[in-house]
Amino acid sequence: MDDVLIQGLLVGGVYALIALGFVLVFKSSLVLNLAHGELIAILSYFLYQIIAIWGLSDWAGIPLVVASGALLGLLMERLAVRPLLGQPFLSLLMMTLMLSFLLKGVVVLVWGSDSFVLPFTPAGQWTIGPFNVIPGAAISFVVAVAIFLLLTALFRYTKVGLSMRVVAADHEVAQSLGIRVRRVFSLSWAISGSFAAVCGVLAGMVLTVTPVMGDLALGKGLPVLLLGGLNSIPGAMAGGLIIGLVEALGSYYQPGMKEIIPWIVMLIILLVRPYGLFGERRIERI
Amino acid sequence: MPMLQLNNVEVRYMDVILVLRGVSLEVEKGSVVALLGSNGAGKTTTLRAISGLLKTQDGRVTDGSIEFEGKRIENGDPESIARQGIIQILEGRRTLVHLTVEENLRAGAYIAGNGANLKRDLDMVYGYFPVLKELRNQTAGYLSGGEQQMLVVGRGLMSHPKLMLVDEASLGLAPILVEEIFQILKRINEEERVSILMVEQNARAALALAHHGYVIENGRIVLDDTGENLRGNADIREFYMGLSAVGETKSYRDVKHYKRRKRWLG
Repeated sequence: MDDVLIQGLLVGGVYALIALGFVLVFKSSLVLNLAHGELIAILSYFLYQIIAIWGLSDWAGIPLVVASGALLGLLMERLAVRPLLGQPFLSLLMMTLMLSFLLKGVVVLVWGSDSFVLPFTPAGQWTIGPFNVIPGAAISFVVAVAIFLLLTALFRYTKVGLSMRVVAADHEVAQSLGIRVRRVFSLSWAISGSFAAVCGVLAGMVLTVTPVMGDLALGKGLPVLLLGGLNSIPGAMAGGLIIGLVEALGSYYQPGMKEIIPWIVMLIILLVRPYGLFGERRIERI
Repeated sequence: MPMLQLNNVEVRYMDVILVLRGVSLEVEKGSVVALLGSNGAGKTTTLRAISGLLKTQDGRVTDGSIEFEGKRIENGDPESIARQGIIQILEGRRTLVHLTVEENLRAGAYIAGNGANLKRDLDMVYGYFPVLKELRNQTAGYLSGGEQQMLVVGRGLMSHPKLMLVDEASLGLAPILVEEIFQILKRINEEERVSILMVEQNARAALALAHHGYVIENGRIVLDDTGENLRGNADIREFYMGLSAVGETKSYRDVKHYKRRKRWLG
């Protein structure tokens, strides 16, 4: 039982990281990027391509994939999202949905329906204190927490982070203060893309890489995101851990509940707190 | 040579709607200039034409020129115009509502850089607006209207502008607050040597500190004079301050509106 809880918590770290990719883009450009799941999938496949087919070493492959993630994020923003800025939220949402199908198509086109486990996944179990954990999950958790801390510091203490928050709040005010809005967009999409790459690597260790991996990532990321609040970094973290935990508990008592439970929790929380656990309430003046 | 010079500036929105029909005005270095006019006269459009923020509203300078310190800036990027030292304080107290007071001010320091200067600049702003210092960790959205107006002026000041474009700082504020804010603007002009171009409907408040004033109607400048002379100008007193010739507040009973509409020669 303890092992189940710990395992759930560790996997929750990966879910949190998936959600952080959404939050980062949403926070600075108010775009809900539905293509983020497929972005993770395609980067996982690309990593497989680099390591297993081109034969590069793991330590060359991972940075290469992270860099391609940043580049892909940048391209998506430049080619698909920026021309639509200022359009209604729904148009942008449809655009990211379209991008997600496009990426999925590319995955199937290039890699067919192969599924595989990334070759560097450590096998067996680790014993940490009284618990037995799966190594991939433990590594993911540590990476997720590190990235969460970095991101929190970025938004709270740095000039770049502050400028992202200003851009999210009001484009015109940002421009009037000399903040280069377009540059901030590019930057946040690039960072989000590199997160997708990290998720791709981690998810590749925890899960099997299959063509439906993108849907799976979206299916985990979205409840976490809505649970925590669309624009909250701590929310994504807390949401990820909660979803990971209840999922583990659910499947412990009733195998098969695993895929349903996150959505049930999300439903209940949204009914009680529509802006999520940590989302920003809109401040209205009367 | 004046610091800012507009020559026959013509502005159209969406290439069709002509809003400014040849506005010319000047701002001398270190001076306070007021731009007066009624609703829809083109006051805010003039400021946006200068700051470049016209672009976000699909507007463009289609004729004439805007020169700042000898350089042409019409139709430039708002970001780079801000970097040249022109900061617009937007109308309607546009605070960043979810950020704290101090974060709002730090956002204003984006151009000026950070480090050692940041602390000094924050102290400078807190010196002008002591109430902001007490509220520094409050969420800006929960401040009162007057405090929010002080915050956006302070935020503009953080970037050390050479020229501040102040759009309707008096809007929706109690007279006593208007007076307080305008007094501080006057001090900012004198102590920090920031030139100010302000757009106002509250002519009395604006002319109390303006060295020079322009009256804009229907996208044209119809009158311009020193602040001193405008304060004494009979038309200004009647149409913008609501005073009769002898300086008393007049009764509406004595006025036949339709006959007394002023036709400006312009």
